[in-house]
Amino acid sequence: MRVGLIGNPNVGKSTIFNALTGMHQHTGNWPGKTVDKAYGYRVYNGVQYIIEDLPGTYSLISHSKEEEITRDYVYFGDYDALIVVCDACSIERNLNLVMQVLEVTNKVVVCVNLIDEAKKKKIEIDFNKLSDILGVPVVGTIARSKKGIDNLLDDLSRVIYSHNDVKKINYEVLDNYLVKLFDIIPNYFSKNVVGVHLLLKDYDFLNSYDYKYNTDFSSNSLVKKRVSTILNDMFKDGLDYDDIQTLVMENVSVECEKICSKVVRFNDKNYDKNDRFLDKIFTNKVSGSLIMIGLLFLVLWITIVFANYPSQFLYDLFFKFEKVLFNFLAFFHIPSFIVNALVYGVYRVLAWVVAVMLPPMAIFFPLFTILEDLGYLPRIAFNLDGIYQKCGSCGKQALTMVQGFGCNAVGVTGSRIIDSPRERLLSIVTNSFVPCNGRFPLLISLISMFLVSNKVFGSLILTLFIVFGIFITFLITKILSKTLLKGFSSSFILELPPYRRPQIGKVIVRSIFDRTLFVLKRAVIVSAPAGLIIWLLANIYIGGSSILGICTDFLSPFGSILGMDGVILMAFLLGFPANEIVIPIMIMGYMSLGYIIDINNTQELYNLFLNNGWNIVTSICVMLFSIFHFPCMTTLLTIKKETGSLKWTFLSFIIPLALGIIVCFIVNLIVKI
Amino acid sequence: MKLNDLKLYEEGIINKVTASEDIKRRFLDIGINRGVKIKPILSNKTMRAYLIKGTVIGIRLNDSKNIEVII
Repeated sequence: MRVGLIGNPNVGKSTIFNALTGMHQHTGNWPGKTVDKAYGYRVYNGVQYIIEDLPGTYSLISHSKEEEITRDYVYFGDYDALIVVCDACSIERNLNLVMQVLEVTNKVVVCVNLIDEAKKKKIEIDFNKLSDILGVPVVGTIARSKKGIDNLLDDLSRVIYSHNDVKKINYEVLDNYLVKLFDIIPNYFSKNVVGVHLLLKDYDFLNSYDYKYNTDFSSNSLVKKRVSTILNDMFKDGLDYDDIQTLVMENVSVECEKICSKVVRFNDKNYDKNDRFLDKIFTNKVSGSLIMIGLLFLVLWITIVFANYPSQFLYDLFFKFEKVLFNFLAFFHIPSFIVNALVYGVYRVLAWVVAVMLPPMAIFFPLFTILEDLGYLPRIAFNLDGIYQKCGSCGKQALTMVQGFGCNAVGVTGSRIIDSPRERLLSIVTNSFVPCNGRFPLLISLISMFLVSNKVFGSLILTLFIVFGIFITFLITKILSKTLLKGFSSSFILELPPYRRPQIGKVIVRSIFDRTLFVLKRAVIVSAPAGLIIWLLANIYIGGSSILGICTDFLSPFGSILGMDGVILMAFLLGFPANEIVIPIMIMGYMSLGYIIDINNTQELYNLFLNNGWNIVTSICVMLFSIFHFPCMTTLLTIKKETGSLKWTFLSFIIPLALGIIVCFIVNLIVKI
Repeated sequence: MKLNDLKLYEEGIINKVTASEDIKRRFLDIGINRGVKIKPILSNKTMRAYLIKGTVIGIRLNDSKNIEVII
């Protein structure tokens, strides 16, 4: 049996999906926003259900790109039943969608989720009465603790074979005009729905309808004539074409209000006083800003401090295994050239990337997801919308930027939450201007070596670098929205959902599986071949020096213009797969080694850099270049995937690089004068 | 009067929405339609958040100027 799961955004639809199918089927989706269908299975009472999780939608009449998937599914999909998920705390608005769905099918179960939250707010819902009015089963659930899920499945199995009459929308004034179309509309489903779309001249809908039912509504000239006559009549009666949608929605919304007044009781008029209190604190100019900065600082601090231990553990573990692997391969008398390339090239780079990349992400993203679950993040978007609006973008970009601190690839994918395609691109292209977890270690160690050893001043300087990155984000966003991505910041409507207690356990699982492993997988795919290339460059000799040496010599003059040297530039180039290996490659280059290596002793590393001609300016240029250069390969692959455009992938590559070259050039120039 | 003229915590009833097709649709989506009660509860320089049908929606002043309300 095929069952579609639909509902307004942010009602816990995906949690219901998980409760129905078990966590493990949940793949190919992005927390916070379902952009495509996700499938899962459930066997109940011997019947197999295929559950399809669809993108959240407010209504079937309107359509953004993602909502179209849902609308087409409801109107034309091959399902046996639909589950419409509603938020118990805002049932009136959610009923809008329910009513529209009931126009098309009676095989519906209404799932009122988050009834525990409603109870806390003393909102009382009479499920039986609601069910009587609507003509379909209504089930209350608490998806996070799987309460009511069995009832949901029971009702589902019944509704599939039911032929109940359900509540229909009363079109009132529109009725008079819609009936004039009835004789040409076949009886496949609600004539009213087809009529409304004919009057709206919604060709997306009509084409799909024609395709499914072999009709020719989108092209038939007689139909067109009839429609324009009716529209003319409407106009004469004082109704505008624009009014059709408004009228339909108005009738639906009046109906919903009527229903709610019968079945919902707010026993505490101030049921939302806690939320409103938190809102005031979080969006206040002073306290809101302080909390925002404080939380960002806290999350980054926890990530940086606590990632060291697991990183070291993984690092040690992988290196122990490296010896085992080496001996194992040597045992089979594989030529040493190949063994070395595999072990010191492919394996070591791979192990390195995993060891330094995994722990910070596994700490950062759960923390971020907790804030997301809590409902805090939209408040940040609300607070910062002003400044982003000035740059031609919207407040949600603040959230993708913060995700970028964890990992730019995640920030890029996270940009899906931005509705306008133009603003989404702005967010994607500028995401790498904030340093990700992979670049923090480099910044921190260079600051402590060359600038200040005091930890407090050190973090202040680090903050300065970050603030500069954020400033550049604004600047480039603004420049882009005046040039390549010309346009005014369009309308921006932001839902501020109720605060919820985060589900810590699920947060960790979800953020690690969905976000961390998602990126790690891509990083592994790019680092393995990169390891081989690095090894080959360092170990193939032409005329007495390695290819790597030849390349660094070649890049040397260019590097010195930018206040750096050939080895540093080469390290950034070879660090393309992952920023984590930039310093190890530098060390390899300076020591003329054939494999990447780390020096844990800061003093030793400092001396190595000094002996190779580094000074404060070099370190500053390296840090700036680390913030402003091409995004790592994982991020670029993700950009390609998200935008589907080579042009924008290339621009995301070249804009930060050009900026880095300019900034370093200027810094170097100023110092020389 | 315009929605933007509504004072904080002052409840109004939406009377008319005169926005472009696209924005109007999005307004309709979130329940902004004739006859609906709306109350601004948060504000900053460019946005205000409104309580509408039990949910809180942030709208830019630029957009909300297209909404007419009556008290």
